[in-house]
Amino acid sequence: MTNFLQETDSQSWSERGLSFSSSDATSDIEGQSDTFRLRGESNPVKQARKIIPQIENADVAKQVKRLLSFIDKIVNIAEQKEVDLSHIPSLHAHVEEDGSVLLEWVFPDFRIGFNIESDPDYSGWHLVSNKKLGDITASGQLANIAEITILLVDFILSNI
Amino acid sequence: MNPSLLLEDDILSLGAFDFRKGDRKDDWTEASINWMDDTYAIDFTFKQTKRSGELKYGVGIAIIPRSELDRIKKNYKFIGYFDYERAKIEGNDYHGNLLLKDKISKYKRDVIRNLLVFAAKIVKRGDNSKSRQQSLKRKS
Repeated sequence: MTNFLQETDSQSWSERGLSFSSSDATSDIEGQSDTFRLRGESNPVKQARKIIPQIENADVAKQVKRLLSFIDKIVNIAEQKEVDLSHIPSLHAHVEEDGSVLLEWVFPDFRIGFNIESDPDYSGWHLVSNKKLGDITASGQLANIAEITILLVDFILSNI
Repeated sequence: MNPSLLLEDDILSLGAFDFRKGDRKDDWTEASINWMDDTYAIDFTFKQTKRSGELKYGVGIAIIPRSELDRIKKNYKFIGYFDYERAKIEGNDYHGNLLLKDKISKYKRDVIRNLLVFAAKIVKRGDNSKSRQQSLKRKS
């Protein structure tokens, strides 16, 4: 079983020549959470954005927008560094019966997801892999969206 | 499973494992299953209908080896959070439940649901019995 740490003191990750930092991700996002940049069909969050109008709870909607913006921003940074993102699948989103939102990102050897709740303290993330990637079973609160998102996107880029 | 539980062809959503409190008086939630005690259990499950007469599993079913359930149950991170039971009901001797503690955090719940999805083999309605048997052999 691979150990996987939720919390990290690191402010940046560097894999495959990429270097993301929390400040990079947050700088352009705060203050523009209601707007999204439009890119081509390869944008992995494009499909997930479509459920935003269906979210009745404003707190949930706000968190989902913020999370998608972070992912979008990090993916954009990777694109600028000419990383091949053509194999990244779409992020799927559903509004659940209790008004929370479940986001599912499915890759051949691992799955990443987020549960977004009306109380942000109960919102969380998870990463589960198959045996090939060491049977990872990691999860935690989504208290620091920027760091967790960077960590997870970095994991994706390192394992697709 | 219904169509919305397939994110894409052969990619199962976590929603396929829908744990609910139901009528339980204990501290578990449950997701209904049928135990595959014999090969007829598959055909029986495919034939199950809702009160409305509509097929209960319109698109297909997911089969999980018991060994995978035990692997989750014995994972040190989930000891005491996940279990299973037999629970025969009228007209269905195969019936049982997957169990999840009702106080578990949603993100930990979703890790367990992902492990179930990883372990599941999807059998779609319309797969003929020969290819179904081959598929099950490959899985085991």
